Amino acid sequence: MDTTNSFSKKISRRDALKLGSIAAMATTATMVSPQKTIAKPVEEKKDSYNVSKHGTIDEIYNIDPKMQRFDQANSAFCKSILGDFGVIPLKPNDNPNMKNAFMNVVFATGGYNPISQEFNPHLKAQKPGHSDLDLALDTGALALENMTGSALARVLANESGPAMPLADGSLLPISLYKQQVPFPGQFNKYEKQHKFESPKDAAYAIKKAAKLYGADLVGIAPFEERWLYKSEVYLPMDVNGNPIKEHVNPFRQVKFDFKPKSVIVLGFEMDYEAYKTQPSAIGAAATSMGYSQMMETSVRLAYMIRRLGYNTVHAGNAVGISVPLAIQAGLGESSRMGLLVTEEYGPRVRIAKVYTDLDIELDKPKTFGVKEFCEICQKCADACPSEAISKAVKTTDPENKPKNDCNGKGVDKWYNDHQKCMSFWGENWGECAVCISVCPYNKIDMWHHDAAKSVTKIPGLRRLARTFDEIFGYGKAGSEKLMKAYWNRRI
Amino acid sequence: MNLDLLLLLFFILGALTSIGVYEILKLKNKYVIYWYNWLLLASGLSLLVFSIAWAISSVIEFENQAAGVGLLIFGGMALVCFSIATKLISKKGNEKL
Ligand code: SF4
Ligand code: SF4
Repeated sequence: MDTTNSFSKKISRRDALKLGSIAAMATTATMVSPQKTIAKPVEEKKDSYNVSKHGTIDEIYNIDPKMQRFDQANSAFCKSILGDFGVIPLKPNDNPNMKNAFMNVVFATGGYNPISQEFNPHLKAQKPGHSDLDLALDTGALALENMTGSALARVLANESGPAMPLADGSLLPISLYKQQVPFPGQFNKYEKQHKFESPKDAAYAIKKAAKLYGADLVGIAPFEERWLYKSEVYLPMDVNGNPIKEHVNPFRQVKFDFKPKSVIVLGFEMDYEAYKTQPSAIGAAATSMGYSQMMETSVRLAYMIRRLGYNTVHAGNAVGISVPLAIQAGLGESSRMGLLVTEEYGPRVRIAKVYTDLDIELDKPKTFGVKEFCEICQKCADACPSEAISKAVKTTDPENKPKNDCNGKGVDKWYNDHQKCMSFWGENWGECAVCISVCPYNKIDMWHHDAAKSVTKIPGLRRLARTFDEIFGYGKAGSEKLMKAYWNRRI
Repeated sequence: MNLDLLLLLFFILGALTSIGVYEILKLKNKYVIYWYNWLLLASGLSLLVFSIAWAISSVIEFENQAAGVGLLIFGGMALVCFSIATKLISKKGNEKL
């Protein structure tokens, strides 16, 4: 008997339809499961295709053993706000008298820069992405960060000052400036130390708590002095935010009043849809949310660890450089644009950290081909409005030279021109982050992007991956259509 | 992300897949089908389903260009597979008596 005939007799057209639909539904359900509604897994994700683990960051990048610690005073933001980074006119008709263009970013919301005496032209024209509605969105997002200032300094972290004792024995700092500090360190730690059965158990508990407190990624790096700032910025202000006259130098040596053993590195995803509108105040709102989350989660984790009887210092961008710590903690790799690229969200993440003396199991760095892909891709460098990103193919190419003091030296990386970058921020009266937005790794967690990302790991197909990213139309930064569409879409 | 919409669209996709599978199996009654024809038909159907799934997913994330180009590239590849397969299958002498 013909097997096909018996098969078609047994399974009618209707049955086949039903079966097929059920199968497709089952596949679909796994592909599109609403991950946000399910509790975030604590167990580490199984490494996907072509991911390599390394012992230390030095196995991945060439790092000079005599490397000098980076001075926070030389970071682009500090130089822009506290130093006089000035502005490099980018186009012939740019205003060369505009001093310290970055201050436009600071005064963007108010619409008037009292230093340069200029008005925010984009706000005046209610340009898409810079309208009152857009700037209000950013103001709201930045609210928590504004109370703490974690973008620059460890304001709440170590500046306890006069403090209010709370019921759990911790101290709530009520001053921004360290005056008579009864307990140097962030908050009063609990006297009885909780003992975990093993560093692995400690890591499990801390990671679980960090995810509950809002972190999207958590990893643990060893404490290494080389990644601490040589000097850090702090805010010599009193409770009312007035400058304390006798402390005019806003930089001081980085010190701990305990011996840190490890750094818990926290990663926060920034909103994908908002980031598609960069460079705009809508995109800036996503960044600002990231900053607020950095502070919120790191404060909570620090409180928790101190309640367990251990010391902590938590920080956003302060205390030490974040990217090498995040790499060492296994969160991702460095990239051409100099930012961390994670497997999950690409470069669309913010980083916070908690330094502690708790014994905790360390994570291992991992690579998944970012450096090799960056050598071919260069999409961020092509899209950068100020041409600040290096176009050298390899980091070892002779033209890849440090541009100014903002470049930390002694590490194998691409050198970018932060002065040019900040100048564009000033021109734009707001942040930019076009580089993050256009990066092919910047995608949402959907099955088809995972498929596309795995192509970047195959040596012969990397150029194709970059070309296809372009053909498919991803990363159209600067599009006013997208800026307008942000408010019009009903999701 | 509109999950209901996504599930509904993928349900339709499931239905289309089923029809595709059913139609391909029906061919076996009429023609002798060699292994390479099966391979072409299976690849064609997988590519077709993939292209539709890609397009739907892209529309859901408002990437209309990605949807269109994906449909064109993967759908086009599916059509090529189908047309070669049908040419080979319907060759003279392949009909079942
Ligand atoms: S933020 Fe903008 S200006 Fe700065 S490097 Fe990135 S793309 Fe260039
Ligand atoms: S855009 Fe391309 S070159 Fe730039 S960081 Fe992303 S992957 Fe690397």
